[in-house]
Amino acid sequence: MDLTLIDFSARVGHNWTLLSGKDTGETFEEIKEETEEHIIWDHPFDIHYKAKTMRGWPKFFVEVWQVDEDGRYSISGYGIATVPFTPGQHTLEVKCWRPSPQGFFKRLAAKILGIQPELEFKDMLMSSAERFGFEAETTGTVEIDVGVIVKDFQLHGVQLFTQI
Amino acid sequence: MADYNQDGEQEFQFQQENDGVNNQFFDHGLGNFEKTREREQEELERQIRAEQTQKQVDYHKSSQEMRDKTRTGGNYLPIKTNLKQAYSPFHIFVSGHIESGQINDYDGLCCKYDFVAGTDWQIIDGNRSGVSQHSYKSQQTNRRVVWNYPFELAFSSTNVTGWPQLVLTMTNRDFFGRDQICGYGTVHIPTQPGSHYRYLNVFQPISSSLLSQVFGWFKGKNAEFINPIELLSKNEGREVTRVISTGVIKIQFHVTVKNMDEYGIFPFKA
Repeated sequence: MDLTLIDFSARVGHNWTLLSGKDTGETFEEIKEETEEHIIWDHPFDIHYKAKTMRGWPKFFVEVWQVDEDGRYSISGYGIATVPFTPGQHTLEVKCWRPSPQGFFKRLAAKILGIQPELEFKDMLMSSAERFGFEAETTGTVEIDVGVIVKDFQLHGVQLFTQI
Repeated sequence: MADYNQDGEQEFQFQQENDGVNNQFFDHGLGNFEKTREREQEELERQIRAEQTQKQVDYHKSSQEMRDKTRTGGNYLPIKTNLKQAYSPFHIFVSGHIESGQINDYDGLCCKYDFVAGTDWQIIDGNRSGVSQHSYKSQQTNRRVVWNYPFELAFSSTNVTGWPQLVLTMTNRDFFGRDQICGYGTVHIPTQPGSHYRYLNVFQPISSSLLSQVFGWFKGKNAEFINPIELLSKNEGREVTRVISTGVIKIQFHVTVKNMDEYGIFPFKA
Protein backbone atom coordinates (compact mmCIF):
# COMPACT_ATOMS: atom_id res chain seq x y z
CA MET A 1 0.00 0.00 0.00
CA ASP A 2 1.31 3.39 -0.92
CA LEU A 3 -0.68 6.46 0.07
CA THR A 4 0.21 9.82 -1.39
CA LEU A 5 -1.36 13.22 -1.06
CA ILE A 6 -0.60 16.72 -2.25
CA ASP A 7 -0.84 19.92 -0.30
CA PHE A 8 -0.88 22.64 -2.91
CA SER A 9 -1.21 26.40 -2.95
CA ALA A 10 -0.97 29.14 -5.52
CA ARG A 11 1.39 31.89 -4.42
CA VAL A 12 1.43 35.44 -5.68
CA GLY A 13 3.46 38.54 -4.93
CA HIS A 14 2.45 41.92 -3.55
CA ASN A 15 0.02 43.96 -5.64
CA TRP A 16 -1.79 40.79 -6.60
CA THR A 17 -5.20 40.24 -5.08
CA LEU A 18 -7.31 37.14 -5.09
CA LEU A 19 -10.74 38.06 -6.44
CA SER A 20 -12.44 34.69 -6.27
CA GLY A 21 -11.64 31.04 -5.79
CA LYS A 22 -9.59 29.19 -3.25
CA ASP A 23 -5.84 29.24 -3.69
CA THR A 24 -4.91 26.51 -1.23
CA GLY A 25 -6.01 22.92 -1.03
CA GLU A 26 -5.23 19.37 -0.12
CA THR A 27 -6.02 16.37 -2.27
CA PHE A 28 -7.35 12.97 -1.33
CA GLU A 29 -4.96 10.41 0.02
CA GLU A 30 -4.60 8.38 -3.10
CA ILE A 31 -3.72 4.71 -3.00
CA LYS A 32 -1.46 3.68 -5.80
CA GLU A 33 -2.00 0.20 -7.13
CA GLU A 34 1.05 -1.61 -8.30
CA THR A 35 -0.30 -1.94 -11.80
CA GLU A 36 -0.84 1.81 -12.18
CA GLU A 37 1.85 3.93 -13.64
CA HIS A 38 0.72 7.26 -12.23
CA ILE A 39 -0.96 8.45 -9.08
CA ILE A 40 -4.10 10.30 -10.04
CA TRP A 41 -5.53 12.97 -7.75
CA ASP A 42 -7.85 14.91 -10.10
CA HIS A 43 -8.02 17.90 -7.86
CA PRO A 44 -9.74 20.91 -9.44
CA PHE A 45 -9.03 24.58 -8.85
CA ASP A 46 -10.44 27.82 -10.21
CA ILE A 47 -8.63 30.97 -9.20
CA HIS A 48 -9.15 34.56 -10.32
CA TYR A 49 -6.51 37.21 -9.71
CA LYS A 50 -6.17 40.93 -10.22
CA ALA A 51 -2.69 42.42 -10.71
CA LYS A 52 -0.94 45.75 -10.72
CA THR A 53 2.53 44.50 -11.61
CA MET A 54 4.08 41.64 -13.48
CA ARG A 55 6.27 40.83 -10.52
CA GLY A 56 4.72 38.15 -8.39
CA TRP A 57 3.06 36.27 -11.23
CA PRO A 58 1.31 33.24 -9.71
CA LYS A 59 3.26 30.12 -8.94
CA PHE A 60 2.04 26.74 -7.92
CA PHE A 61 3.64 25.36 -4.84
CA VAL A 62 3.12 21.65 -4.25
CA GLU A 63 4.09 19.54 -1.29
CA VAL A 64 3.90 15.79 -1.82
CA TRP A 65 3.43 13.72 1.32
CA GLN A 66 3.53 9.98 1.53
CA VAL A 67 2.15 7.62 4.14
CA ASP A 68 3.98 4.39 4.80
CA GLU A 69 2.64 1.09 6.11
CA ASP A 70 2.77 2.21 9.74
CA GLY A 71 0.76 5.35 9.06
CA ARG A 72 3.67 7.74 9.31
CA TYR A 73 3.57 10.85 7.17
CA SER A 74 6.81 11.89 5.60
CA ILE A 75 7.68 14.45 2.98
CA SER A 76 8.17 13.12 -0.49
CA GLY A 77 8.89 16.28 -2.41
CA TYR A 78 8.57 19.99 -2.75
CA GLY A 79 7.93 21.53 -6.13
CA ILE A 80 7.35 24.91 -7.63
CA ALA A 81 6.02 25.84 -11.06
CA THR A 82 5.35 29.18 -12.65
CA VAL A 83 1.97 29.54 -14.34
CA PRO A 84 2.71 30.21 -18.03
CA PHE A 85 2.34 33.78 -19.24
CA THR A 86 0.68 32.77 -22.47
CA PRO A 87 -3.05 32.13 -22.40
CA GLY A 88 -4.21 28.67 -23.33
CA GLN A 89 -4.10 25.12 -22.05
CA HIS A 90 -0.83 23.99 -20.54
CA THR A 91 0.55 20.97 -18.80
CA LEU A 92 3.08 21.83 -16.15
CA GLU A 93 5.59 19.22 -15.13
CA VAL A 94 6.66 20.09 -11.63
CA LYS A 95 9.93 18.44 -10.80
CA CYS A 96 10.18 17.79 -7.08
CA TRP A 97 13.00 17.44 -4.61
CA ARG A 98 13.30 17.02 -0.88
CA PRO A 99 16.04 17.95 1.56
CA SER A 100 18.37 15.05 2.06
CA PRO A 101 19.45 14.05 5.56
CA GLN A 102 22.89 15.42 6.34
CA GLY A 103 25.34 13.37 8.23
CA PHE A 104 25.80 9.63 8.62
CA PHE A 105 23.41 9.09 11.58
CA LYS A 106 20.62 11.19 10.10
CA ARG A 107 20.93 9.20 6.91
CA LEU A 108 20.79 6.00 8.88
CA ALA A 109 17.73 7.20 10.76
CA ALA A 110 16.06 8.13 7.49
CA LYS A 111 16.70 4.68 6.14
CA ILE A 112 15.69 2.66 9.17
CA LEU A 113 13.14 4.79 11.00
CA GLY A 114 11.81 6.72 8.04
CA ILE A 115 12.57 10.12 9.54
CA GLN A 116 12.88 12.56 6.70
CA PRO A 117 13.98 16.16 7.17
CA GLU A 118 11.40 18.80 6.23
CA LEU A 119 11.61 22.42 5.31
CA GLU A 120 10.68 24.82 8.07
CA PHE A 121 10.55 27.92 5.88
CA LYS A 122 8.91 26.85 2.66
CA ASP A 123 9.10 30.31 1.14
CA MET A 124 12.72 29.58 0.26
CA LEU A 125 11.40 27.65 -2.72
CA MET A 126 9.95 30.81 -4.15
CA SER A 127 13.00 32.98 -3.67
CA SER A 128 16.26 32.90 -5.55
CA ALA A 129 18.26 33.53 -2.41
CA GLU A 130 21.47 31.64 -2.06
CA ARG A 131 21.17 27.94 -1.26
CA PHE A 132 24.81 26.95 -1.29
CA GLY A 133 25.54 24.19 1.17
CA PHE A 134 22.00 22.86 1.17
CA GLU A 135 21.77 19.28 -0.01
CA ALA A 136 18.69 17.98 -1.73
CA GLU A 137 17.54 14.79 -3.33
CA THR A 138 15.61 14.40 -6.55
CA THR A 139 12.31 12.59 -6.16
CA GLY A 140 9.59 12.75 -8.79
CA THR A 141 7.31 14.73 -11.02
CA VAL A 142 3.84 16.19 -10.48
CA GLU A 143 1.71 17.13 -13.46
CA ILE A 144 -0.67 20.07 -13.34
CA ASP A 145 -3.10 20.80 -16.14
CA VAL A 146 -3.83 24.49 -16.19
CA GLY A 147 -5.83 26.73 -18.49
CA VAL A 148 -4.80 30.37 -18.44
CA ILE A 149 -6.99 33.30 -19.46
CA VAL A 150 -5.62 36.84 -19.40
CA LYS A 151 -7.45 40.12 -19.78
CA ASP A 152 -6.46 43.72 -20.58
CA PHE A 153 -2.69 43.30 -20.38
CA GLN A 154 -2.26 44.92 -23.79
CA LEU A 155 -3.81 48.13 -22.48
CA HIS A 156 -0.69 48.64 -20.42
CA GLY A 157 1.67 47.80 -23.24
CA VAL A 158 2.49 44.35 -21.90
CA GLN A 159 2.86 41.67 -24.54
CA LEU A 160 2.25 38.22 -23.19
CA PHE A 161 2.17 36.38 -26.49
CA THR A 162 3.30 36.92 -30.05
CA GLN A 163 0.28 38.52 -31.59
CA ILE A 164 -0.42 42.21 -32.13
CA MET B 1 5.85 113.80 -15.51
CA ALA B 2 8.18 116.74 -15.32
CA ASP B 3 8.38 119.22 -12.47
CA TYR B 4 7.21 122.60 -13.84
CA ASN B 5 8.86 124.60 -11.05
CA GLN B 6 12.26 123.56 -12.24
CA ASP B 7 12.57 125.13 -15.68
CA GLY B 8 15.88 123.80 -16.61
CA GLU B 9 14.86 120.24 -16.24
CA GLN B 10 11.73 120.78 -18.26
CA GLU B 11 13.65 122.37 -21.03
CA PHE B 12 16.20 119.57 -21.00
CA GLN B 13 13.49 117.04 -21.27
CA PHE B 14 11.87 118.82 -24.16
CA GLN B 15 15.16 119.04 -25.94
CA GLN B 16 15.69 115.37 -25.46
CA GLU B 17 12.32 114.54 -26.95
CA ASN B 18 12.97 116.90 -29.80
CA ASP B 19 16.27 115.23 -30.44
CA GLY B 20 14.66 111.85 -30.55
CA VAL B 21 11.82 112.73 -32.88
CA ASN B 22 13.36 115.13 -35.34
CA ASN B 23 16.78 113.65 -35.65
CA GLN B 24 16.34 112.60 -39.24
CA PHE B 25 15.12 116.06 -40.32
CA PHE B 26 17.77 118.16 -38.65
CA ASP B 27 20.77 115.94 -38.89
CA HIS B 28 22.10 115.78 -42.42
CA GLY B 29 25.24 113.87 -41.67
CA LEU B 30 26.37 110.38 -42.56
CA GLY B 31 25.20 109.17 -39.16
CA ASN B 32 21.59 109.65 -40.17
CA PHE B 33 22.04 107.46 -43.20
CA GLU B 34 23.64 104.75 -41.10
CA LYS B 35 20.83 104.92 -38.60
CA THR B 36 18.15 104.43 -41.23
CA ARG B 37 20.09 101.52 -42.66
CA GLU B 38 20.24 99.98 -39.19
CA ARG B 39 16.51 100.32 -38.80
CA GLU B 40 15.87 98.72 -42.15
CA GLN B 41 18.17 95.89 -41.29
CA GLU B 42 16.48 95.39 -37.95
CA GLU B 43 13.11 95.22 -39.63
CA LEU B 44 14.43 92.75 -42.15
CA GLU B 45 15.87 90.58 -39.43
CA ARG B 46 12.61 90.71 -37.55
CA GLN B 47 10.75 89.60 -40.66
CA ILE B 48 13.21 86.79 -41.26
CA ARG B 49 12.93 85.68 -37.67
CA ALA B 50 9.14 85.71 -37.86
CA GLU B 51 9.25 83.66 -41.04
CA GLN B 52 11.61 81.19 -39.49
CA THR B 53 9.49 80.74 -36.40
CA GLN B 54 6.42 80.35 -38.58
CA LYS B 55 8.30 77.77 -40.63
CA GLN B 56 9.30 75.92 -37.51
CA VAL B 57 5.76 75.94 -36.22
CA ASP B 58 4.49 74.70 -39.57
CA TYR B 59 7.16 72.02 -39.67
CA HIS B 60 6.26 70.84 -36.20
CA LYS B 61 2.60 70.75 -37.09
CA SER B 62 3.19 68.88 -40.32
CA SER B 63 5.63 66.47 -38.74
CA GLN B 64 3.19 65.80 -35.96
CA GLU B 65 0.54 65.07 -38.56
CA MET B 66 2.98 62.88 -40.41
CA ARG B 67 3.83 61.05 -37.22
CA ASP B 68 0.19 60.51 -36.53
CA LYS B 69 -0.39 59.19 -40.02
CA THR B 70 2.63 56.98 -40.60
CA ARG B 71 4.59 54.61 -38.44
CA THR B 72 8.32 54.55 -38.96
CA GLY B 73 11.14 53.05 -36.98
CA GLY B 74 12.92 54.45 -33.98
CA ASN B 75 11.26 56.91 -31.69
CA TYR B 76 9.41 58.94 -34.35
CA LEU B 77 6.09 57.54 -33.33
CA PRO B 78 2.84 59.10 -32.15
CA ILE B 79 2.98 60.02 -28.54
CA LYS B 80 -0.55 59.99 -27.38
CA THR B 81 -0.08 61.12 -23.84
CA ASN B 82 2.08 63.92 -22.54
CA LEU B 83 3.33 61.74 -19.74
CA LYS B 84 5.26 59.46 -22.03
CA GLN B 85 8.71 60.45 -23.16
CA ALA B 86 9.70 59.86 -26.76
CA TYR B 87 12.84 58.04 -25.70
CA SER B 88 11.40 56.17 -22.77
CA PRO B 89 12.78 52.68 -22.36
CA PHE B 90 11.19 49.33 -23.03
CA HIS B 91 11.00 46.65 -20.41
CA ILE B 92 11.51 42.91 -20.29
CA PHE B 93 10.21 40.77 -17.50
CA VAL B 94 11.70 37.32 -17.14
CA SER B 95 10.59 34.66 -14.77
CA GLY B 96 11.54 31.03 -14.75
CA HIS B 97 13.35 28.13 -13.22
CA ILE B 98 16.59 26.32 -13.63
CA GLU B 99 14.67 23.14 -13.63
CA SER B 100 16.73 19.99 -13.97
CA GLY B 101 19.90 18.58 -15.39
CA GLN B 102 21.24 15.40 -16.84
CA ILE B 103 24.91 15.12 -15.98
CA ASN B 104 26.33 11.64 -16.06
CA ASP B 105 29.56 11.61 -14.16
CA TYR B 106 28.89 13.91 -11.24
CA ASP B 107 26.58 14.13 -8.25
CA GLY B 108 25.77 16.76 -5.64
CA LEU B 109 25.42 19.38 -8.33
CA CYS B 110 25.04 23.05 -7.54
CA CYS B 111 24.44 25.69 -10.18
CA LYS B 112 25.11 29.40 -10.08
CA TYR B 113 23.37 31.68 -12.49
CA ASP B 114 24.41 35.19 -13.53
CA PHE B 115 22.52 37.53 -15.81
CA VAL B 116 24.79 39.58 -18.03
CA ALA B 117 23.55 42.42 -20.21
CA GLY B 118 24.98 45.26 -22.24
CA THR B 119 25.82 48.75 -21.03
CA ASP B 120 22.42 50.24 -21.85
CA TRP B 121 20.61 47.64 -19.85
CA GLN B 122 19.51 48.03 -16.29
CA ILE B 123 18.13 45.50 -13.88
CA ILE B 124 15.16 47.19 -12.25
CA ASP B 125 14.14 44.36 -10.06
CA GLY B 126 15.30 40.91 -9.04
CA ASN B 127 18.53 39.13 -8.25
CA ARG B 128 21.32 39.35 -10.77
CA SER B 129 22.87 36.13 -9.58
CA GLY B 130 22.05 33.22 -7.34
CA VAL B 131 23.44 29.93 -6.10
CA SER B 132 21.22 26.90 -5.88
CA GLN B 133 21.25 23.98 -3.51
CA HIS B 134 23.32 20.82 -4.00
CA SER B 135 21.10 18.38 -5.76
CA TYR B 136 21.67 14.65 -5.64
CA LYS B 137 20.39 12.07 -8.04
CA SER B 138 17.45 9.96 -7.01
CA GLN B 139 17.91 6.40 -5.86
CA GLN B 140 15.85 5.12 -8.75
CA THR B 141 17.24 4.51 -12.18
CA ASN B 142 16.58 8.05 -13.35
CA ARG B 143 19.85 9.93 -13.78
CA ARG B 144 18.32 13.37 -13.44
CA VAL B 145 19.03 16.06 -10.85
CA VAL B 146 16.42 18.66 -9.97
CA TRP B 147 17.00 22.14 -8.60
CA ASN B 148 13.80 23.97 -9.50
CA TYR B 149 15.67 27.14 -8.71
CA PRO B 150 13.59 30.19 -9.57
CA PHE B 151 14.67 33.57 -10.92
CA GLU B 152 12.58 36.64 -11.54
CA LEU B 153 14.04 39.75 -13.14
CA ALA B 154 12.88 42.94 -14.78
CA PHE B 155 15.16 44.64 -17.29
CA SER B 156 14.85 48.04 -18.90
CA SER B 157 16.80 49.34 -21.84
CA THR B 158 16.75 51.90 -24.62
CA ASN B 159 18.86 49.77 -26.93
CA VAL B 160 18.46 46.23 -28.13
CA THR B 161 22.15 45.36 -28.41
CA GLY B 162 23.54 43.56 -25.42
CA TRP B 163 20.43 41.47 -24.96
CA PRO B 164 20.64 39.81 -21.54
CA GLN B 165 22.24 36.41 -21.21
CA LEU B 166 22.16 33.75 -18.56
CA VAL B 167 25.55 32.35 -17.61
CA LEU B 168 25.56 29.09 -15.70
CA THR B 169 28.41 27.78 -13.59
CA MET B 170 28.05 24.27 -12.22
CA THR B 171 29.90 22.75 -9.32
CA ASN B 172 29.77 19.21 -8.04
CA ARG B 173 30.52 17.77 -4.64
CA ASP B 174 32.85 14.80 -4.67
CA PHE B 175 33.40 11.94 -2.24
CA PHE B 176 35.51 14.05 0.13
CA GLY B 177 32.98 16.90 0.19
CA ARG B 178 35.02 19.17 -2.04
CA ASP B 179 33.29 21.46 -4.49
CA GLN B 180 34.71 21.49 -7.98
CA ILE B 181 33.79 23.19 -11.18
CA CYS B 182 32.12 20.77 -13.56
CA GLY B 183 30.39 22.84 -16.19
CA TYR B 184 29.83 26.17 -17.83
CA GLY B 185 27.11 27.28 -20.16
CA THR B 186 25.44 30.35 -21.53
CA VAL B 187 22.11 31.13 -23.16
CA HIS B 188 20.29 34.28 -24.21
CA ILE B 189 16.92 35.15 -22.75
CA PRO B 190 14.35 34.23 -25.41
CA THR B 191 13.44 37.29 -27.46
CA GLN B 192 9.93 36.09 -28.05
CA PRO B 193 7.37 36.68 -25.31
CA GLY B 194 5.79 33.53 -23.95
CA SER B 195 6.91 30.34 -22.27
CA HIS B 196 10.07 28.66 -23.47
CA TYR B 197 12.27 25.74 -22.57
CA ARG B 198 15.95 25.94 -23.21
CA TYR B 199 18.24 22.92 -23.15
CA LEU B 200 21.65 24.21 -22.27
CA ASN B 201 24.62 22.00 -23.08
CA VAL B 202 27.28 22.61 -20.50
CA PHE B 203 30.98 22.04 -20.96
CA GLN B 204 34.07 21.93 -18.84
CA PRO B 205 37.62 23.03 -19.66
CA ILE B 206 40.28 20.32 -19.56
CA SER B 207 43.81 20.78 -18.35
CA SER B 208 46.47 21.58 -20.89
CA SER B 209 48.85 18.88 -19.65
CA LEU B 210 48.46 15.48 -18.10
CA LEU B 211 50.62 16.47 -15.12
CA SER B 212 48.43 19.39 -14.11
CA GLN B 213 45.41 17.18 -14.59
CA VAL B 214 46.82 14.63 -12.14
CA PHE B 215 47.76 17.35 -9.66
CA GLY B 216 44.28 18.84 -10.02
CA TRP B 217 42.74 15.47 -9.35
CA PHE B 218 44.74 15.14 -6.13
CA LYS B 219 44.09 18.70 -5.01
CA GLY B 220 40.40 18.49 -5.81
CA LYS B 221 40.57 21.36 -8.24
CA ASN B 222 39.69 20.80 -11.84
CA ALA B 223 40.67 23.22 -14.55
CA GLU B 224 38.46 26.28 -14.37
CA PHE B 225 38.11 29.68 -15.98
CA ILE B 226 39.42 32.66 -14.02
CA ASN B 227 36.59 34.99 -15.03
CA PRO B 228 33.91 32.75 -16.52
CA ILE B 229 31.15 35.37 -16.76
CA GLU B 230 33.28 37.76 -18.74
CA LEU B 231 34.56 35.00 -21.00
CA LEU B 232 31.30 33.21 -21.65
CA SER B 233 29.17 36.26 -22.32
CA LYS B 234 31.54 37.47 -25.04
CA ASN B 235 32.61 35.87 -28.26
CA GLU B 236 36.31 36.50 -27.92
CA GLY B 237 39.20 34.96 -26.05
CA ARG B 238 37.99 31.40 -26.49
CA GLU B 239 40.64 30.20 -28.86
CA VAL B 240 42.98 27.26 -28.04
CA THR B 241 40.90 26.33 -24.98
CA ARG B 242 40.01 22.66 -24.92
CA VAL B 243 36.66 21.79 -23.45
CA ILE B 244 34.67 18.63 -22.92
CA SER B 245 30.91 18.31 -22.84
CA THR B 246 29.45 17.22 -19.52
CA GLY B 247 25.66 17.29 -19.81
CA VAL B 248 22.43 19.08 -20.47
CA ILE B 249 20.56 21.56 -18.26
CA LYS B 250 16.89 22.32 -18.78
CA ILE B 251 15.88 25.91 -18.12
CA GLN B 252 12.39 27.29 -18.21
CA PHE B 253 11.80 30.90 -19.27
CA HIS B 254 8.64 32.96 -19.13
CA VAL B 255 9.13 36.26 -20.94
CA THR B 256 7.03 39.35 -21.44
CA VAL B 257 8.02 42.56 -23.16
CA LYS B 258 6.56 45.97 -22.53
CA ASN B 259 6.45 49.08 -24.76
CA MET B 260 8.61 47.46 -27.42
CA ASP B 261 6.23 47.77 -30.34
CA GLU B 262 5.38 51.30 -29.28
CA TYR B 263 8.94 52.36 -30.06
CA GLY B 264 9.10 50.38 -33.26
CA ILE B 265 11.05 47.38 -32.03
CA PHE B 266 9.61 44.05 -33.04
CA PRO B 267 11.52 41.16 -31.53
CA PHE B 268 9.36 38.56 -33.23
CA LYS B 269 7.38 37.93 -36.37
CA ALA B 270 3.90 39.30 -35.91
